[in-house]
Amino acid sequence: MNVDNKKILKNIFFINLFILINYIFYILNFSLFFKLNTLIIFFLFSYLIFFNLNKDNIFLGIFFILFSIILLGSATQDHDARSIWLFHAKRIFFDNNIYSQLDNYADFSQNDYNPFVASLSASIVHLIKGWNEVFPKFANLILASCPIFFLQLFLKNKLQKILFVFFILFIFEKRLINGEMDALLSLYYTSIVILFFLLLREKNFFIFGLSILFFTTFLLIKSESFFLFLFTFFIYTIFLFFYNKNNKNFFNLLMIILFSFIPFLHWKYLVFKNNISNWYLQGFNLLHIKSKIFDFKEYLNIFSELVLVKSMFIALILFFIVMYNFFLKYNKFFNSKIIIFNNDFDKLFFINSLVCFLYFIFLFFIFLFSNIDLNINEFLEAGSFRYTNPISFSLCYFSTLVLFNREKKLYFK
Amino acid sequence: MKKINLIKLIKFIILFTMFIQVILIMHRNNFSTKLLFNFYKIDTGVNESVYKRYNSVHDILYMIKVNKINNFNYDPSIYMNLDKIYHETFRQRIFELSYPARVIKDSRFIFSANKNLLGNNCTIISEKGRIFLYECR
Repeated sequence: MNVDNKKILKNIFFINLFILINYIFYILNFSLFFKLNTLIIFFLFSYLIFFNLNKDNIFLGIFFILFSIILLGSATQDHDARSIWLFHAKRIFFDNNIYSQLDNYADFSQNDYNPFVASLSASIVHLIKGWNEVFPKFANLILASCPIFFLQLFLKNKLQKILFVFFILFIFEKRLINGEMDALLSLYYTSIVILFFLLLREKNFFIFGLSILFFTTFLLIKSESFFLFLFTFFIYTIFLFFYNKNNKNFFNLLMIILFSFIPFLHWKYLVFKNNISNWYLQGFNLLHIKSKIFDFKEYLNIFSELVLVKSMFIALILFFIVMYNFFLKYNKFFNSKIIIFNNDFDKLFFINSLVCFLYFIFLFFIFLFSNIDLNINEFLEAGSFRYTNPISFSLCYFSTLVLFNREKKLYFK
Repeated sequence: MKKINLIKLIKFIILFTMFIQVILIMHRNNFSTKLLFNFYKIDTGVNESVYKRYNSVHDILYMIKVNKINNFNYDPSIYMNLDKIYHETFRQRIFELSYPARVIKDSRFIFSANKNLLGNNCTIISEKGRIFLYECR
């Protein structure tokens, strides 16, 4: 790791740390320090964008400046961003209370969702004159800077970094700056796949700290985070069972996961205590499932809506290119029980593909058994674009790592 | 003749596509320099944040501010001019844009698009566009 990247890692660490401190201040009702804490976050973010760049990642700095300008010049219009995320932020801002959504007012706003990002949005509004429809969503860009700068540390040359920004632009489109959480979910998910890998490979206290911050943040972003986290853990456990049964770092990983789950479980406890139901679960009943399980036309409908989107199309092309390479590289192992991987990037790609597969199946059944009329298609079309983002982005990222890397070991450049 | 460097050409094509994508994102986000130079002011973007078909929400919002009311209710007539698929979205825009004023079932302030719907107990205290604000006893 060179000095520049150490600085970037520290910067990411502290941005994420202060964002979590902001959430904890809200949880503990410490309203006195909001402004100071938010100013520190802004300072660290600006430092990351303007002063922590080397000639390799200058392109990323330009990307952030450009997106900041677009974000500040556009109002929040998208349905979910308005009805859920920024509405929660607005409630926190006006009531000065993170628990205000637990009264279940306006139940359409998914009051069981964690207000972690909303609390940051509410905090940054304290820096300006009052609530408006432009500035609160800046919280998303600040939060996105951590996984974006983390992920670019593993890219080895300018072409990879350009492709990385290309994927962000084409897969997330405006979702990084429109107040929705799907881009954040995808970026953090891709980061935690790498962090799981690093945690199981080495004992490094900085990685421990960064993992706690990233895992905690990831679990607090959206409901889907929990399932993605669960699938990642499941696949890594199976992977260890086949490849490294006596991994000494597995215990560290478990401890970090347990620690990271505390804020997530705290919020779930509050939701349960206040009897707030989950929107997804409201539509689930056995009769409904029975009627849909043999409806194969619906299967086709959902499958096409989930796969035939631009982002998935880009991801699947790259996925099949890498799979073809895999086929050529590892065909001698096809008759043996396990594949001996050549390098870390292949392992990561393989693990991520399995997690994505599980997540895809999960999404498929969520759509199939939801009580929403899929014939209207508006819901499915709007959803499929966003819900498959973690799959498409992570597939693109890991494919880039596999295709353009000649090294064997994953390390910070 | 100079050979065209393939990697440089690929980089250029990718960068150009990205530039076009940024323009598309600006367009889809309805980017405006007016908002950019006022991003720190109260209520910036309120008018731009709601699609034109829900414009009556702005009338309701205006009357809430002018009459300084903390809670209100509404009559479904206010969104009956819209297609049915937009009703729920319209309802949600009322809830979230009017906050901190809350929608309460037995509020004495009621918004309606009908001039004579609410009977003798209610009087019109304000009106904007096609929306009337009633105060009921």
